[in-house]
Amino acid sequence: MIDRTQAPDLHLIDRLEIASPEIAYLDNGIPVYMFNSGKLDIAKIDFLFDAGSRYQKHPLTARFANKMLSEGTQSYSAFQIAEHMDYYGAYLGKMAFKDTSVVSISLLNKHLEQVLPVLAEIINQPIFPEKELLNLAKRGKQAFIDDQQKVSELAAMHFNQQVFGKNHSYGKLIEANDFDHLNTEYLRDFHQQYYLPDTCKIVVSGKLPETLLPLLNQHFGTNKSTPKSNSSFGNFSLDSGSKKEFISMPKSVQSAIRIGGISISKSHADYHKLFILNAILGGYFGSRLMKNIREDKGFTYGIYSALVSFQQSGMFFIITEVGSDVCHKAIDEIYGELKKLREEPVSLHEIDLVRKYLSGGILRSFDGPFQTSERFKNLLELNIDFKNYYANLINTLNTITPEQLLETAQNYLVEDTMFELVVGKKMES
Amino acid sequence: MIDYSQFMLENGLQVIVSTDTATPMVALNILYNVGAKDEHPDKTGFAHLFEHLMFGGSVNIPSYDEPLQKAGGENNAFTNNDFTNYYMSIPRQNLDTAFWLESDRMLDLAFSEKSLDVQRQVVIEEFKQRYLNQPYGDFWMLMRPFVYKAHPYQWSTIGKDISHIENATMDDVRTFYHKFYHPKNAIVSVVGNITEAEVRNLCDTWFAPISKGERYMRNIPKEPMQHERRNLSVERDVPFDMICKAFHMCARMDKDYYATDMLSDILSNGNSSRLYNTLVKEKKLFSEVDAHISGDIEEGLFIFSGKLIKGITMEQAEAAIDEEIERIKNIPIPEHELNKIKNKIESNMIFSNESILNRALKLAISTLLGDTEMVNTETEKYLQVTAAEIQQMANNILIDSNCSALYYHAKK
Repeated sequence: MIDRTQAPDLHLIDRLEIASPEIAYLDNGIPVYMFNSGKLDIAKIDFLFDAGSRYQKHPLTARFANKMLSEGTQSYSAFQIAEHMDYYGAYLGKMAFKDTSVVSISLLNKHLEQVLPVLAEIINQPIFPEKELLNLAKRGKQAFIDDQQKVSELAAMHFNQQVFGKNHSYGKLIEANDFDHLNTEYLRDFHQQYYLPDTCKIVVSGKLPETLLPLLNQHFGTNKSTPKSNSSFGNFSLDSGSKKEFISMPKSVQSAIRIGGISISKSHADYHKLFILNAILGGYFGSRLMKNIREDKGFTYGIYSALVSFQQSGMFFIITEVGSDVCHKAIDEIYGELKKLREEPVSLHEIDLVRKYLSGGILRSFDGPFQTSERFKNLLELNIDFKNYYANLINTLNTITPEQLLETAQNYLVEDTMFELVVGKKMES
Repeated sequence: MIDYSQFMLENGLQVIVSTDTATPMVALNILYNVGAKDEHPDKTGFAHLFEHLMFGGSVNIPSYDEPLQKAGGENNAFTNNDFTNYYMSIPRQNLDTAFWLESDRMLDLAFSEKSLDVQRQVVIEEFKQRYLNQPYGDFWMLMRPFVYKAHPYQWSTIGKDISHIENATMDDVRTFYHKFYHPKNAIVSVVGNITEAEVRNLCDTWFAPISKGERYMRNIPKEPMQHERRNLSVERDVPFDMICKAFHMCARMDKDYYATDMLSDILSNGNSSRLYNTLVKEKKLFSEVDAHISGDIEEGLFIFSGKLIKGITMEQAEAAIDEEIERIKNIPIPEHELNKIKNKIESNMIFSNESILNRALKLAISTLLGDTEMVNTETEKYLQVTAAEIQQMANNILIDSNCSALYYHAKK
C-alpha cells in the first residue's frame, strides 16, 4: 500500500537548451530571425517596427496608424483584405505598444504564397482612407468610454501618468476627445516616417518551408528606407504626479489599487534578482501577496505584482481589485509585505520553492517554436541579447541568496519612491 | 491528427494518453462530469465554489499548490454549466508528483473550515469583480433565466444569487463532493513526453486504489419548446445601449450542430463576415456586433448581440439584424463564402492542436461526449456541410417565436 502522505521524489528537470535563431538578411537589410521547429505545417511571422506611441506627436497616432494598415491599400479595399485573409484562414494581428508596433500573421504554410503579397501591401502601401478612420475612431471612442466605467481600466490608464507625468512619452493619458482629433494626414506621415526597412525586424517561427526566405525577400526585401526628417524620439523628462491619488467611482463595489513606481528594466544588471524577488512577492499563485490577501484574508479574487520593461525605463507595480470595505486593510497589508521583504531575509525553503517553480516556468515558456519566438521578441524589442539574458537568469536563479534578495528589496522596493492609486468608492479613513 | 490510446481502470476512471516527444513537458487534464447544471436550484454556484475548495488541501496532503510549484508545475481550473476541468503542465520528470496530488484530491478532501470561509469570500469578490463592477456585467445573469424556463442552464456558474454561496455549509460541501468527485465521474487525459506504459503504471499506483463511487444518474428537466417571442427591457448605468437576440438551438452531439456553428461563422467570424461589414462598416449602426453559439453540451443558444452607436435606436438596430437574418434565410450562400468558412475552420483546428494543454482538454471533452475520435473527425464533419444545410438551419432556428430579445438601455 502506497504512503500517500509522502511526496514522490522530485527529479532534476531538463536543462534548458536555449535555441538561438538562425539569422538572415533581406536585400534591403531587414534582419530575419528564424525559429524552425515543430511538427505542424504552420508558421507565424512577426514584423516589429520602431513605431510605438513614444514617437507620435499627436495622441493615438501610433495606435491608429497600426490599426489602419489593413483598412485599405493601393490595390485592395479594407473588405478585400479581410476577405483574402479569411479565405486563406490566416490570422492577421496588429498591436501598437509604447516603443514598438507589431504586425503578425499566423497561417498554414501552404497559403504563404497567396497571403504574403497582400501582407506586403498592408505594411508598405496603406492609404488610410478617411471613411474607415471615421468609423474606427468613433467605435474606438465608444470602447474607451465603456472602459472608463471599469475601475481596473481607469487605474491602469491613470497610473502611468501619475508615475511618469502627463507630458512623458510613457505617461501621457488618452482622453475621449483625442479620438475626435485624429486625421489621416497624421497617420500617413507617421507611417512614412516609422514603418521603414531600417526600423523593421522580422521574426519567424514554426515548421518553416525553404520557400519562406525567398518569398520574404521578394515581398519585403526590395523597398529602401527614405531618409527620415523631423523625427521624434519622445519626451522622457519626468513630471510625476502626487504620491497618493484617488479617483472616485461612487457606485463601485470594489476598488482597484495600484502601488508601485519607476524601476529598472531587463537591461539592468540587477534585473534578474528583482525578477526573482517579484515572483516571491506577487509573481505567481503561491506568492506572498496572493497567500496573504486572497488565500488568508479573502479580500480579493486576485492580486499580482509585475515588472514591465520599456526601452527608456521600467516599472514595478502591484495590482488588485478588493472589496470597497476592506480597501484600507488591503493597502496596509501590501505595504506590510513590502516592508517584510526589506527587513527579513527570505528563507532558504521559500527560495528553493520559487527557484523550482520558475525553472519549470522557463522550460514551459520555451515549449515549441511559437513560445520561443515570443520570448525572443520581447528581448529583441529592448535590444537585449537573448542567449545571454537567459543564461544569466538561470545562473542567478541557481545562486541567489537571502542576503542578495534583502539587498535587492532595500534598493528597489522602497516605499518612499512608490506611488499609490485607488479607484473606487470613497473610503472611510 | 492526434494519436492517442485509451483505457479504463477497474474503478471506472477513463484515461487517454497521447505521446509527443518534442516537448519537455506533460499536460495532465482531469475533467469531472459535473457542472452548474447539476446543482440544486436552491444551492447554485456550488460546482464553481467547489472548484476553489479543491485547492484547499486533500486528505493526505495539506497544501496542493506548494508541492506542485516545487515540481515546476503550473495549474488552473475552470467550471462551466456542463463540467469542471482541472489542468496542469509539469516537467515530464515530475509527473508522479502530479498524479500524487490529483489522485489524493479524488480520494478525499481535507474539508477545512478555514478554506471554506476564505474561498466563500474569494468567490464573492470574484462575483463582484466579474458581474457587478463591470458595465454590462449582469448580462448573463439577466439572460439565462429569461431564455431558460425549466433547464438549469437558467443560472450562471457563479450562481443565481450570491446568498447561495454565502450560506454554503460544510455539510453541503461534503455531500456535493461525494456525489460527483470519484473515478466513475472523471476523465483523465495526459499529453506530452510520456508513454502509454508509463501512464498505465502511474494510474495503477495512484488512481486504481480509489474505490468506485456511485454512478451519478443525471436527471435534468428538458427545456420546453418556446412558442412565443419574449421581450425584456432593462435600464442600467452604462454608456451605450446594447441589444441581444437569443434563439434556442440543438445540442452539441446533434447532427445539425456543425451547420448551425457554420451559420454563426458566415454571419460573424472574421473581419470579412456579414454582420461586421454590413452593420458596423456600411450602415454604421453598431460599435461591435456578434453572432455566436453557446456551444453547450445540451440544447444551447444561438445569440446575436451588439452595442449600438450613440444616437441609433433599438428599432433601427434590430431591423438591421433582422434584415441579415432574412437575407441568409432566403438567398443561397455563395460557394466562395462557404469555402472561406471551411478554410478558416481547417486552419483553426490545426492551430488549436499546437499546445499540449489544448490537446489534453480536447481529448477529455470528446471523451465526455462519448466519442474520443471526434478530435480527428470533426474537421471532416464541418467540411461536408452544404450551403443548403446552413440555410436550412437559419430557417429552422432564427424564427420570431423562438426568439428572446433583451433590450439593455443606457440610463439617460
